[in-house]
Amino acid sequence: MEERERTETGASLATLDARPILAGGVDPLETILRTIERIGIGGALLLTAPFRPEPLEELLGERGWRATVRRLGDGKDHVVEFLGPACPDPIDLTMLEAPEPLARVLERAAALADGDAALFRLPRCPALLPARLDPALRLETAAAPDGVTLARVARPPDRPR
Amino acid sequence: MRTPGLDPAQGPPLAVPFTFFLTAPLAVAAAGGLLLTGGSAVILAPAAPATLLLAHLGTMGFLGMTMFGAIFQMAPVVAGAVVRPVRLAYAVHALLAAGLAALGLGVTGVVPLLRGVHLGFLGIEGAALLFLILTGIAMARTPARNDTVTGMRLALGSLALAMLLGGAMELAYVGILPLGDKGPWLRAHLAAAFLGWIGGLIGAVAWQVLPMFYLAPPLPAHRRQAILLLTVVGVAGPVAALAATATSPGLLGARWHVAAAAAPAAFAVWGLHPLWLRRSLAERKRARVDASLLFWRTALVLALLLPVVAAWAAFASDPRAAILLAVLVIWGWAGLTVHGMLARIVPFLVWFHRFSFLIGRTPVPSVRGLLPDGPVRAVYAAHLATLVALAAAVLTRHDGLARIAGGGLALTAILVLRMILVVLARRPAPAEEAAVVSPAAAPASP
Repeated sequence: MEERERTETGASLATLDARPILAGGVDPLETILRTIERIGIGGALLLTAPFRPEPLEELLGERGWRATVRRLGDGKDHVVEFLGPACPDPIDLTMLEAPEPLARVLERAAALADGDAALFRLPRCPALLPARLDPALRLETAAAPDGVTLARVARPPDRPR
Repeated sequence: MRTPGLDPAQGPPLAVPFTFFLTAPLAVAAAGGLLLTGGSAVILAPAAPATLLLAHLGTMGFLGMTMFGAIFQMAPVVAGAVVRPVRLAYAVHALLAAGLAALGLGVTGVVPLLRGVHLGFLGIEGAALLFLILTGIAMARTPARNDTVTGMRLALGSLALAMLLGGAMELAYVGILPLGDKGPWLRAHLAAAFLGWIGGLIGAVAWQVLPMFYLAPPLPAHRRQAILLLTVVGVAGPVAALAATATSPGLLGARWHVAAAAAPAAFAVWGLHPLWLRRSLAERKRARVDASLLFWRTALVLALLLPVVAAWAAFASDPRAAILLAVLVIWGWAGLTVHGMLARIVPFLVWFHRFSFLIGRTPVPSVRGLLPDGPVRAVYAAHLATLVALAAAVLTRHDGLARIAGGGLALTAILVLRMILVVLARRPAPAEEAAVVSPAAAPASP
């Protein structure tokens, strides 16, 4: 309950680009761990790095975080999607053409019960979603440099007025 | 969650883009009527009044109408550039339609030719000026910074340049402004219109639409920026060459200098861009061939032919070269792109404005359900057959072929009009619409 409360009131999705940090000669590990701490075990982090950060995947894997890695375009850069131990697997909509991802998110969002949340992986930043989403719902997004976006839609718990 | 500067809720009402989209096929039908009645006489000489009318029904009536409507729609959504007051878009439309009508009346002899041409271009230039003021202010104020925004700004700047050069030529045509040899002016005008205005906007739209609707990987930023830079150089270059010839009247080969100065833009818009986009489409995440994609693919192949035809037109004295270039640009590369874009954007806009807020409350048709592939393929077949007939008519100067091409234009216009109207007629059942108090405001059903 404590974790749920925290992710609903604060950000549970984050992006971190380690490339400029590494280019500045600084080890980004501390920044990454601080971010992980901030978003909590129900959160997700999109990390961009100039190589596949296998030691980090192992370190976070020991703490229960799952990692999904993909390469950015033709280059050497990688995007690693770290999902916290309490984070649901995202519903992958990246293979759908517009406006199908929007329609699927709206369908799923309409069915959310009080206190429920759903996580989606979208092919791009959902620019039109806020205009159609029930204002009672909370939307959070985190976008990777290639546009692929994690979007979390949550219906707050029904609180007595 | 909002991308800084972007607010889709500030997009225009559905009626704004559709007023333009529905008028464009009428201009195509008028061009078809002109060819049907005039035959090959309409496509013999670039400077003939009927040819001038045909060209402007294509550039401003068909392409301009669609592109104006698309920019009024796109600017707030992709660039956060809110056009205010958006009602003035209807004034742009009215001026443009009236200008084209006046030009038509002048060329067909209903009113004296010079008066018709003068009034026609006044209307067209007035429409473009008002459009540029409205969208230019919005685009200048937007905080959004990306290559699509830069491409749209390049397109608007090029349109302004094309209008200035076109206005000067129109004043020369009616005897007010002595320009001397209009060849260099025409080349600079065409470079700004074809490469900067049309090419800039096609680039900006493609970078948004192809990843969004076809899951094509986006072009890398350095490639987009190279295209933009070369296009700017190739649009500004001819104007600089034109100015140089004005200050050095004895300079030989002004037409060549002006045409050659446009080469960087031609290389970018008709070379690099289609090559890179074709590769991007080949690397799509999903292999399904959508009917609208046929338009894009054909347009990109045609684009690769254009530098050759443009070189022929620039350096040869054969009038067929310039007319063939105009046909392949207006009805080929740009026209196919416009119809491909309409085939995706028309159902998408209707779905978004009328159906998307009902999701989760009642069954909602898909975008594909609003416009199946059949009608889109019919438009593609008619468009492509007309293009072949028109190009053949220009090359052979065959009267029958020219009239067949005219019939093809009219048929394509009817098919496009039907395609848009069928989609536009789709509305939610009144009871479903009434059940929703306001978009996204009613509680979700359990």
